[in-house]
Amino acid sequence: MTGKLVLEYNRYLRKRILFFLLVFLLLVIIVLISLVSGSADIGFRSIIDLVAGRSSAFASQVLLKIRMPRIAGAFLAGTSLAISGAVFQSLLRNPLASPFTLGISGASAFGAAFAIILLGAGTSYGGSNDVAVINNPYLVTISAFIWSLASVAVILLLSGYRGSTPEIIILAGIIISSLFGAGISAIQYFSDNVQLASIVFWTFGDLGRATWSNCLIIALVVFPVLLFFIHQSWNYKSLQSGDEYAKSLGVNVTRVRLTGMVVASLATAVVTSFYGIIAFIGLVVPHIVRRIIGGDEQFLIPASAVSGGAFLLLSDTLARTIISPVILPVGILTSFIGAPLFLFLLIKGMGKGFWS
Amino acid sequence: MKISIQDIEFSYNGVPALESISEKFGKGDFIALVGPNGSGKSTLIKCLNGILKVHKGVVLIDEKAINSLTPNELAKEIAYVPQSENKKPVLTVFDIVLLGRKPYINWKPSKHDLKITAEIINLLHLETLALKDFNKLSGGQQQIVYIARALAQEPDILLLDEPTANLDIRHQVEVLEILKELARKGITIVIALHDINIAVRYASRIMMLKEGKVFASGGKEIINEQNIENLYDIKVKIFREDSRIFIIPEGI
Repeated sequence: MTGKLVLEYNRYLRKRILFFLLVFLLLVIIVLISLVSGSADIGFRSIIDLVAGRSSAFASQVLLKIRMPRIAGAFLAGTSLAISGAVFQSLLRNPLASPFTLGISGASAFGAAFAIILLGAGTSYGGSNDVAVINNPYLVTISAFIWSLASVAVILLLSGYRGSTPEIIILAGIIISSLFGAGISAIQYFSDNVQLASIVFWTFGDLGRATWSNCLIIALVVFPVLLFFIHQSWNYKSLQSGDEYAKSLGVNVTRVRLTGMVVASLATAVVTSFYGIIAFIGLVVPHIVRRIIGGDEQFLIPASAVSGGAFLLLSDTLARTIISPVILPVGILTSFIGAPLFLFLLIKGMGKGFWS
Repeated sequence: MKISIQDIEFSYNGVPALESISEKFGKGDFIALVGPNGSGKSTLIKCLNGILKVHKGVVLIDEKAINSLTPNELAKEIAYVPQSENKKPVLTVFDIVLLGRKPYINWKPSKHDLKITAEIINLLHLETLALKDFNKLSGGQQQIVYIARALAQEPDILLLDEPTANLDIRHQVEVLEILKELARKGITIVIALHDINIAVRYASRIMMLKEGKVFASGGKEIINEQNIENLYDIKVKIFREDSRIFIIPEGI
């Protein structure tokens, strides 16, 4: 009798695992498409040649130095933003929470600009692009992280108040975003032309800056963070039913919420400090995943990880090809896709519980 | 499992909610907490499992102070069914009941966790609902699922905060029959109840709270017109038939 029920439940879980595999397959396809799209004429042939070790110097240069790091960067950034979004949503029990809507991306961006210009972590040089080169990525990331914690502190403080609703928290996030936006503007105002150009380019959210070395740094943050979140998923699941109930299950609510928020901010900050603000991935991806496989963090977090990576990579591939040979910064595209989606979710959520 | 409450006090921002409460409950006792709104029933329940930290005094379970146990150890002894949950996650009934295994789960649930969950679902006759979306269930069914979730913790003590508040009379009886059966199996039940008739009908012990203090405590002998009238500040008439007691409100 009980055996039958467990069996049925396991069969039911297969749906979630199937979704995971499907997205993974999709990811592989997007990676392949992404490898062969671009202004340089490189087809599947060149990939096979590269694997076989007989490709031309040009093809291997384009694939290994330009396209592959960009693909890895897109995947890692998408993963990082999506899992941060999923965890923010669970921890605050707020379906509108994400690194972007909570103002954490904005704060990280300010922190990064602050380090590049005021702390001298970037040097400008007079090349054809006139863009600052970041020569101290650690300083930029650390500064982005510390400033992101400032916005986390405000969010946590506000959500502790009685009567704070999901909407109030998001409004606070918007206020934080515009405050840090003003901060970035102030830095821009006092910068010289080259610095100005580099900040403007930099805040776009562009994966063109992906290199193997910044991918490595992001990977070194994202994978431990993902593991940490998966380990915490049962704590997050308990929190969904309310703080008091979670406490009765033995969850140290304050500690779980605080560490989760700080770790998610770190994951956001490291991506933002290298690639700028990439909006809406952290909001929309966990939302879509939640709709398909349900709100169980045990599955939601790994599924969001893969879906976020696939979604950002797809967006970036589109951004590279949509008005080829011009390469759009992906941040512009995700905002164009994400903003209407966000509006749609808002309207759909009106008048009823957001989780339903 | 025995509970011993020794002179506990609790206040919200300096406003006292519980004052000098001392009680002893034995294994398999079915204790109903009754009293007007704001008398401290919910607060007392939350103090018993450490959701709220008492400001004075101590709560012991089987001679051990609850604050000497880790939260996880405590969660294996005491389960809690909250008054209501306004945030309802989109999960199946099986998922919700499995959540009760949380104190035993590290990375993912074991086969044993799944087996216990299935057993409890069967015990409370929820098989046909097991893979349904929890939000699609009726209020009465949801309440039984919450009890199932608490039982998945394999607790010796079950605390319930007005579990029947939003239920029709049939579901009220259903929930209380389940609890009575659990008490018979040796689980100590502490339940906050508004319906004094239901409390008298099912509980083996009644604890009357008024303004954060114990007004009266004991068996059915404490049910009399004078006590009820003073507790709720209303006029009542009490009828007795065999061993059953009926309390009828008469007016203010």
